[in-house]
Amino acid sequence: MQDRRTFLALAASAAGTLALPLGIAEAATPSAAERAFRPGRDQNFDIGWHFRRGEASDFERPALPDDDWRILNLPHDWSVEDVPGGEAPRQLGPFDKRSKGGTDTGYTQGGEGWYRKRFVVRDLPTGGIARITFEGVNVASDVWLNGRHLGTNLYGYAPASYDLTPYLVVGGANVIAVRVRNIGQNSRWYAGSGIYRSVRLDVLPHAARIAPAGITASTRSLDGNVAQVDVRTEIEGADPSLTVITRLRLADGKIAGEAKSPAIAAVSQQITIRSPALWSPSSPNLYALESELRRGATVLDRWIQPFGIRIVTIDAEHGMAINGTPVKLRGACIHHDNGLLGACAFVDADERRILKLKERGFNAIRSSHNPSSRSFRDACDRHGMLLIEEAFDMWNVAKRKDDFSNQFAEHWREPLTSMVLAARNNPSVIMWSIGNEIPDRATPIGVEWSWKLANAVHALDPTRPVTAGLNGVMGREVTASTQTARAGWAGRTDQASTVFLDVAGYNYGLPIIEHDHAAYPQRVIYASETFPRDAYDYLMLAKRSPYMLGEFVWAGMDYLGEAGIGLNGQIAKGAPPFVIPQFPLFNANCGDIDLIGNQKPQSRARDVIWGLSPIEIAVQTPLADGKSEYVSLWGWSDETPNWTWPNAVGRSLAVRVYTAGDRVELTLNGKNVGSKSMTSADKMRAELMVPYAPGVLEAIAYVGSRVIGRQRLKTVSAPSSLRLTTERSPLRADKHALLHIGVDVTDAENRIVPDAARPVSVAISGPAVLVGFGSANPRAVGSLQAPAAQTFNGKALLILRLSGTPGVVRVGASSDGLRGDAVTVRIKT
Amino acid sequence: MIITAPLYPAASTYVPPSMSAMSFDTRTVSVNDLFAHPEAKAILLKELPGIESRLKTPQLVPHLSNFSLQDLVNFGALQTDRLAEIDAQLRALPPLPASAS
Repeated sequence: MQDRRTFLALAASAAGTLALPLGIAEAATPSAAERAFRPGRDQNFDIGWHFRRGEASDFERPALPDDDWRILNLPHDWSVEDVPGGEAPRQLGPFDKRSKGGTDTGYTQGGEGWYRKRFVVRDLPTGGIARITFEGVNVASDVWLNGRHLGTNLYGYAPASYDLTPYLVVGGANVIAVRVRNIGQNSRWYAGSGIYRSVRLDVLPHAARIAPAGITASTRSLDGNVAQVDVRTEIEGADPSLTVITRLRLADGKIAGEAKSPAIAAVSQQITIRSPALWSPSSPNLYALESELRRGATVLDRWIQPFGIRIVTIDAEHGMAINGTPVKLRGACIHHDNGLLGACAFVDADERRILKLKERGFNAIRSSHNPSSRSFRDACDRHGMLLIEEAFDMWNVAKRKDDFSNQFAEHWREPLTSMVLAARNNPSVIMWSIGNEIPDRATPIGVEWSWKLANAVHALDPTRPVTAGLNGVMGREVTASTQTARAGWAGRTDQASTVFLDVAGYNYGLPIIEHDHAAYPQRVIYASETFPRDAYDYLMLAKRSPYMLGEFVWAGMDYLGEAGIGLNGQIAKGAPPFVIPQFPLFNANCGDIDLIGNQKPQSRARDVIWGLSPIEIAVQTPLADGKSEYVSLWGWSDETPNWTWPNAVGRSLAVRVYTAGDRVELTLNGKNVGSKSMTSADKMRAELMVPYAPGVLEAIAYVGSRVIGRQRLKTVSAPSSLRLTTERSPLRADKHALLHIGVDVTDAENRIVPDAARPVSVAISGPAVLVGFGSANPRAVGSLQAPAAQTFNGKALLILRLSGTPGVVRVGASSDGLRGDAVTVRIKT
Repeated sequence: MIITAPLYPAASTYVPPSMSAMSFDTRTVSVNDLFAHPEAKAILLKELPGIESRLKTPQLVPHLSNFSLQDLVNFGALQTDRLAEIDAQLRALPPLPASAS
C-alpha cells in the first residue's frame, strides 16, 4: 500500500506550491490581554502555551528560557502529531510499528512533554484566591507555579484543580509549568498525550465566595404545572450577614424563580418554578442557574451554569421515564477522542459527534470508560443526549501493566469525586458508572470495592443511580445487611456483581438477560455494550421487557486505538475464522459512524431497525475466488451502497436489503431480478443474489401491496472532480472554533465515486490553520496534519482551527487528473 | 400527577454480604472459580486438554474472573463441543457451602 507521506510529496509536486509548510501551523504569540487575568470565574486559560516534547528534569524553573519552544493553543495532543525523522514504512506521521501501545493505542506514541505559560494576575487582594483547573491531561501530570510544585494528577480523564494563591506574584510575572507523561502500556485504547481538554482560571477577590464545585441543584418534584428545585450552595468564608441569591433564568434572561438566604456554610434553598420548560431528549430546555453571593448590593461572587428541570425515574416494573414519559435508551458507547484531532476536546468537535449520533436516532451515550469532557457534557445538555458518566476501566487489577490499577488503591477517590462534582448539575447525566468489565469484581475483595465506590458516589450525589458495565457472569448469590445494602434492598438475594448497583449494565448479555430477569425480577437491566449485528434483537427485547432500559452499541463512532476490533476481511475457505489486527491498522473500525463522521453500513441497517428509514440497500464487496468473509463480533460485513463493480460484470453479487416491510423486490435496469417475502425471523434483513450489470439497481419494500419505500443505486462513472462542502458557516472569530470541510471525489454527474482512493492536496489562506486532514481508512497511517491526504470510499475530511481574527478563509483542493474545488468562509468578529 | 425524584442514599457501613451455596456449571460460574476448586479443575483438565496454557494469554487473564466457559466459547476464545458433558460432571459435584457475613 502506498503510504500517505508518499502522497504528500506527489501531491505537493502536482499542486505546484502549497500555502502551508508541511505540518501543522503554529499558533500566533498570545496578546498581552491573553496573558493577563482580572477577577472572574471560569476564565479561559488555553491560549499561548509554550510546548516542548521530550524528557527533562528541571523545566519547571521560572527562569528557564523557553522562547524557542513551540507556542500553541490548547487543547493539544502530541500523539497525533508527526514524529520528525521517521522512516517509512515502519514509522509514518504519528504512527510507529514499534509503539509500546501497539494496537491498543493505534500504534501512536506517548512519552513526555512540557508546557509552560507566562501570565499575570491583577487585582487579587489579601483573602482572595486564584485557582486553576485542568479539565483533562493525559495521562499523568505534575504542575508547578513559579517553581513550586502544586500537585500531581495520575488519572488524566478527571479534572484537577490547584490553588495558585500561595505562590502567585500578584501583578507580576508568573510561570506555570506542566509536565505530562504517557508512559508504558497504560490503556486499552488511544488515550492521547498532553493537555487535551480546556484549562480554566478562577480569580476570586473576596474571602467570602462560593466553594469549588459548591453548587448542587436537582429537581425534587413535578406537580402538574409546578416544579420544585433544590439548590445547595456551599460558601467559603461564610458570613450570615451576606446573602446567597439563587435564580433560574429563562433563555431570554427573565427570572423564572429566585431564593435568597443568609450566607451560612451550606445554604439549602428551594425554588418554585411555575410552568416549567422541562428538559428531555426531545425538548432539551435549559435554564441558567445563577448563584450570587452579595454584601448588600455588592456582588462578591457570581457563578452561572446551565440547568435542566427533569426527573428521571427507573424501576423494573415501569422501566425508565423522564418527567413521567417512558424512554428507552438507544445508546452508543464512545471513547473520548475526536478522530483526526486525537484526544483534543474542541467544543465544536465534541458537539459534532453528538449531532452525528443524534441524527442517527441515538438518544444516549455511555462515556466509556472514563469521565467525559465538560464541552461534551454541555453539548449533551444542549442537544438532549442522555449520558452515562463512567469512572474506570480497571480498579485494583491491571488490564495493562502500567495502567491506573497501580495507583487505584491509594488514589481512587480523587477521580471518582471530581467526576461526580464536575457533572452532577448536568441534566443529561442519568447514571454514574463505577467501572467497566472490572476483573475480580465478584470476589469478596471486588464486592467490597464495588460497595466503596457506589457508596462514595451516592454520598456525593444521591439523586442518580449507580451502574457498571458487567461482562460474563454475575457471581455468587449474596445478601447484604441493613447497614450495607442500598436503600430498600437489605435482606434480598442478589448477586455479587450487582448487589450494590442500582441498575445493572450487561455487556454482550443478550443470551442471559431474560434468564437473569426471571431469577431476579426486580433487577433493572440495560445492555451496556452490544454487538452491532444484534440491534434488532435488543430492540425487540426492550419492547417486550419493561425492566430492560435499552442498549448501547459498541461503538457509536470509530475511534483511535483498539485497532481493528471491528475488522472484516477475506480469508481462505476453511481457514480458522480469525484475522489478527496489526500495523498499519490504527483505528477500531467498529463504529456505526466512521472516523470522519460518515455513516457505515451497520448504521444504515440501524436506521431501518429504529424506524428512521423504510429501506436501505447495500452490496457486499465481491469475494475473491476461494475466499470467504470473516467478520469480527464487533464488525460488519464489507458492504456498501454501491452499484459500481466494473470487475464483476456477470458475477452474482450479494445484495442486502434492510426494511421493516413484509416483501422486497429488486429490479435492475427496470427488470425484476428477485423478490423475497420477509417475516420477523428475517429481522428486517433480506439477501438476494443479483448478476451484476451496470445501471440502476432498485429495491422496493412493501407492506401488503403498499409501497413503503424504495432506494436506488446507480453505477457511477470515473472520478472527475473534487467537491468541497463546509459543514457549518458562518463562524465567529474564536480561537477555539473549528471548520469542518468534507472532501468528496465525484463523477461527471456530481455523484460520489464510492471506491475512489485519490490523493488530494489542499491550500489554505486566511485566518485559520489546518489541524486535521484524513479519511476513515483504518489503515491510512501517515500524517494526520499535513495538507495532503488520500480519500477513502470517495471521501476525506479537512478540519481547520480559526486563528481568532475576522476575515475570509479560502480553501482550495486539487488532485492530479481531477477538476479541483474551492470554498470561502467569511469569519465574523 | 406528582412526580417525585427518587433518592439513592449512601449506606452507613460495610459488612460483607452473606453468600449462598454455589453449584458448578459452565454458564454461570467463572473460569477462575472453576479452577479454584480442585475437583472442578480436574474435570476441565480432563475434558479440555491444554486449556490451562491456552488461558494464559495476557489479555485474557484479567477476564477469567468474570468469564464462564460458555463466555469463552461465545467470544471465540475457546473452541469445544464438550460443554454439555462438562456440565453434567460439574453438577454432580457438591456445591460450595453458604457462608454468613
